[in-house]
Amino acid sequence: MVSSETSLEQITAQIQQVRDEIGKIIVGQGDVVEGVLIALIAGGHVLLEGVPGLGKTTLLRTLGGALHLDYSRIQFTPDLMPADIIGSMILEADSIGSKRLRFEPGPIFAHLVLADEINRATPRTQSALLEAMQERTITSGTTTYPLEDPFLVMATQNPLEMEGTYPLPEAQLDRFLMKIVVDYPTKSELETIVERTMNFEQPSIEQVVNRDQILDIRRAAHEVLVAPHVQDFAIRLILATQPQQADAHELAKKYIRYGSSPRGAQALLQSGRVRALMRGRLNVSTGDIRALALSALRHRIILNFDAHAEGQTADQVLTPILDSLPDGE
Amino acid sequence: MGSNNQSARVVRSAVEGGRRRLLGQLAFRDALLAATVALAGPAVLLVAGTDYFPLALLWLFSVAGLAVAANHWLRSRPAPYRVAQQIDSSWDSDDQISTAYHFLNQDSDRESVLNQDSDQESERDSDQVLNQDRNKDAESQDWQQLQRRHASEVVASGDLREALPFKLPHISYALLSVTLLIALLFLVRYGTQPTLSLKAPLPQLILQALLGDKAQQELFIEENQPRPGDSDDAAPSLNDEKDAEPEESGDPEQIDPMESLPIASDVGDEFAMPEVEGLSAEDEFGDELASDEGLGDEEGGQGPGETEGDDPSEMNDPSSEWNKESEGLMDKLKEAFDNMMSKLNMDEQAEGKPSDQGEESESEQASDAPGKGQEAAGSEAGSEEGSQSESEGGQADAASDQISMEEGSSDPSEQKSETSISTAGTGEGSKELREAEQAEVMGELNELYQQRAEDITGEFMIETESADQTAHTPYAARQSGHLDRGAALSRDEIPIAYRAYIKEYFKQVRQETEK
Repeated sequence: MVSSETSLEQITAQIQQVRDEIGKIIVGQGDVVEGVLIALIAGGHVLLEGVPGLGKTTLLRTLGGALHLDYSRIQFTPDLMPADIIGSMILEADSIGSKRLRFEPGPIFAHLVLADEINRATPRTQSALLEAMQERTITSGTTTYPLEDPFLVMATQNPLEMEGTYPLPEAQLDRFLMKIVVDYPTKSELETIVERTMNFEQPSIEQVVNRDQILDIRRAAHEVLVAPHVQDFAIRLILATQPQQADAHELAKKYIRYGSSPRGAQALLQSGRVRALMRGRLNVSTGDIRALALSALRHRIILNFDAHAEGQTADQVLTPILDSLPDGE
Repeated sequence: MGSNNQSARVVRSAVEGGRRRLLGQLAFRDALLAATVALAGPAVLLVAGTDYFPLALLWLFSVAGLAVAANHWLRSRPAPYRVAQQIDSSWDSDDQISTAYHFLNQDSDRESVLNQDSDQESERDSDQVLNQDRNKDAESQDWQQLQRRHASEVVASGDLREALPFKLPHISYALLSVTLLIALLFLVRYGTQPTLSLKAPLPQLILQALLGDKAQQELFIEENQPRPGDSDDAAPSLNDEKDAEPEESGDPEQIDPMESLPIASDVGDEFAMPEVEGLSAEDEFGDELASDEGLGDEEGGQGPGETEGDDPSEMNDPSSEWNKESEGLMDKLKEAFDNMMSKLNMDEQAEGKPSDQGEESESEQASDAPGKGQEAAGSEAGSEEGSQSESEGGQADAASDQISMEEGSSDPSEQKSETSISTAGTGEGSKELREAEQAEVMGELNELYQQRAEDITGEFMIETESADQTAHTPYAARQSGHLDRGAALSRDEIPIAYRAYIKEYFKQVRQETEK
């Protein structure tokens, strides 16, 4: 039970420990690391997008190593089948020779699931993750199996214009709490990466936080206060992205076909709570919402043909909308 | 528990203190608004006077100002939660104070509700539900108190004066403008009337002041009209030739223009010239100046007397008194001067007519341009009259003067006999010579007209002296333009580049004629 300032300090210290462990392997990418941790604590899933070689897989693997949790990795390929993810019924013979079907759990049964290059699998396989991500259960045949908390799907994907990719269905995209764009490292970061690569000894990752601690942190995050004007700000932001709304922004009316769903507002406030907690605050600010808006909303809006024709991206549409909103009511 | 209460008190006092500060600023802003509206009353009264609006208008505007300000103040009062957000925004404190203040009030409300429920439902055996609510609240109580403590630390580390600094409201500029307007109106109103009466409207006072000054000026002119014999003490004349001219001419019939000044002003309409004649009079005057000093000296503000070495301040001693009275005097004198000039024109015509009645036909032909008429008069009247025409007309330059002198130097009797008869039958060479002279003169005129066509700015003094009077007329036209730009000018336009050629051509023609 986290109920005192000491507990708050412990929480922030634990989160910082995880970040430090990740920092042993991953150079820079502070926002990406923070986004992944926010998704873990908030109970969501995270989608990392970037060109190959930017350390997406390494980051998630390092996170799995820093947390004392079950970790599995699924490499998505075009011939991957849903059973390869969720598991399948196998025929098993017991000691007396009688045979029966037994469910063999797939790699989805873990606390941390790394779905690498998720958009290389067919939509059918991708959809196999839907139930797990939303309901946190797996149904095989007539039996439904619950997934243990914390359950985090960390997916990576290459940009859609690359060859051999299948765009994720909108329903599945909406189930990701955040979509984080992994950018190229800076010059100094790149120098550090190269220096570490040249060293013979690779740093070892220690497991600094266990499952119970993560659940405590998650529980504490739920207690972070959200003032009415902050909540109102998040709602106004969601409404501004919906072109059919009267309060919609001009750019939303021009470029957005479908605005953010209510899950967007939930994601903003949930991730905002964790972000505040990571900074030792017990209240969400409009600054938190602003900082997380792009990550939480860029995969929830669907641009129309005009936007694609004019080369507009979701970030280019969302940024002016975000800037036009005042903090207060 | 004590620290929680203390942090709650700190947060609450900070928000309420900030709100008081904001309300004070809003009250100051609305007080300025009320003052601005109230000051509009005196402004209206200063303009319209109490003849049109009663003094109660002041009360009306004051009450209206108070009402507007009170309404504005009541409407713009910020809620405490809004003030907390403003403090957060100023301090960049991540909404900690506003969040703490919100949940502080929520806690107090919830506690009162829970206490009421416990009183009412304790008898209904619903303690279990109540305890569940209390336990649920107790879980979040710790976090809220902790957050409140953080907010109180933020409050303690900041200064409300920095969070909500005093800003001069924009309405203060409006108030300043209205105040300046009232001061200006006050100065204008009580600068134009001797008493502190607020009755008459300001436009009427201004008109009265202007018309009253004009009447005084008329009286002043009549009283200070220079009498005959006083002209010896007057300022020097425009030029020495003109000074001597009336005496030398000794024409008993010549009318002193300055004597006719009051008459001319009285019967100004009778002598009012049409626009073309007025221009010719101006041209005569302008040619006088052009022949003496040129137009540039006029624009330089140097009067004719000044070129002769006289101190302009001495010359302006009598006129400085006029200037102090009003500028309306200038208008009146300008009108008198126009009449005087028209009178002079009439005198010239009157002098030319009886001298040679047989020249009517020729003078009519030449009457289109004043230069032609003067040239004709000069050729008819001989050398003496030629010099007079030169001095009076004045528009002919040195070249034209030479021509007229050449004509004047010839035998007057022969010329008179030549000009008294019809020009039909005269030699071809003399005709061409005359045309050449006319063309040359008109070319000069054209040049003069072009100069006159330029806008003239500035002020200059016109001094006209006759035998016994001198009038100093400050010429008040700030801008003038030559209005006659029609065929009379275009007819005689000779491009400057061709003038030398034409002059040479006619010189050859003249030589051939002489041969």
